[in-house]
Amino acid sequence: MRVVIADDQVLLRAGLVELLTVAGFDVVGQAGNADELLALVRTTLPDVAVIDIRMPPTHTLEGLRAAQAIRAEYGSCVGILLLSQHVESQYARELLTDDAGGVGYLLKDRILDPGELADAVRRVGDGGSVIDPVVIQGLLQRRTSRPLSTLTPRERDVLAGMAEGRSNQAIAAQLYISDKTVEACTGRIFAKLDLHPGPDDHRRVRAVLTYLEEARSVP
Amino acid sequence: MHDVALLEDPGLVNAVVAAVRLTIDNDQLQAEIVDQLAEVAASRSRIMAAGDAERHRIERDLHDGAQQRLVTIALRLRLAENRLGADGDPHIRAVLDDAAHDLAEAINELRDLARGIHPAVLTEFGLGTALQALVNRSPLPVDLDLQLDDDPPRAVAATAYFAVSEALANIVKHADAHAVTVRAVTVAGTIHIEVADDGCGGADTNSGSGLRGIADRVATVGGTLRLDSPVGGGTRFELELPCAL
Repeated sequence: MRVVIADDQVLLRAGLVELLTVAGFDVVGQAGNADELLALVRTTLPDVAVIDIRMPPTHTLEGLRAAQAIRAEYGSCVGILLLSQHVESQYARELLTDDAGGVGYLLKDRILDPGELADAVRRVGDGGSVIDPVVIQGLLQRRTSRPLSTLTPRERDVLAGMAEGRSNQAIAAQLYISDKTVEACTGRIFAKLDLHPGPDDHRRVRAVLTYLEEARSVP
Repeated sequence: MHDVALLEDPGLVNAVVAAVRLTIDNDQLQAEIVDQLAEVAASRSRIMAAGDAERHRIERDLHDGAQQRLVTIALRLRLAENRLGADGDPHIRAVLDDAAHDLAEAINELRDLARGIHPAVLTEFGLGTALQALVNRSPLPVDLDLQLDDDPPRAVAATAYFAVSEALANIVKHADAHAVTVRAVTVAGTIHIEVADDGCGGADTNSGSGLRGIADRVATVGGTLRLDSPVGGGTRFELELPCAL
């Protein structure tokens, strides 16, 4: 899988290159700002671009804006994995505006777990979507709406996996339960929350995220 | 134009002259006081703006400086671990792994600290999204009603954000509430904010330094703050902030 990396911190970028190379990815280019990244994507057409959300000149949302520009031009042909220090789901939301997969939002600390980072890059490159578990935990932690509190602990775990962008199979492996059990769980979750399952994992992520963000207390 | 009778009573003339002089002096004093008050208000809002700018700068420094460096260092520890290879000394591997974990925790703490100082989401996405993020983080269920127009000036947005943040934190800490509502509506250039809970009430603006600080901020941007918190009857926190400074 061909990958480009955009981050203005030279040392960190070098570290990322090494990690991903060791994990078996073909790192075909590096960029230190949004303009370099856009030019790089144009010439290399990578499977995945790993992008830091804050880059020069203002160190705010340059990475996100570049990701959106890439998305607008190449659709899901170029996967996007955004690295950020923000745990608020609103940042992830900005990436999930269309129905196509191949996008991910990870906390930057996640690169400290090389296995997890490689897994995320692979999933995004395969057209899936990835949302950082901490972002999902933040949304689940609030004792929100009544329907959510009717979920069993197992169902909550499965819901978190769905929101993170994991397939039923991956959720089963993560929780050490069978695919069949996960399937049954998702069915019950959708019924309890009155959600309509999307045709693929990505649309499922959007449905679940929207639900979690809009979940309100029921009098 | 005068009355002849006055000539016979110089005392009266003098008294009138003194009274008129006093009024003129009073007017002058009052004008001076009004000027001084305006200056104090202006300097107060400059101090607040400077404080906010400084908080923003510190947040960015923490984010782009310390936090990035810690991530980079932790990443290098991971690389060292990788380079040890499969037959490397397990003790060294354990030390590297522990160090990387500790750093990850430090990074988390730093992130919370930076957000408390000045939330990036407020600068980057505006008041509505920042309030949504606050509500998302609240451990209590919060019903949020957002009907905000364009983003207000920075000082007003920060005041609104910190006020709601403080109100929610107080509810979590003291109110023993089950239901919380946050409403933020712009009407005719004024933002009306209401944070209400069904908890034990009894809050007042003088009890905690947090609420007093908020009251100061609100006054500085020319807004009003009302707190209605009868013991046993829940708390209603109302805020009006003019958007034009």
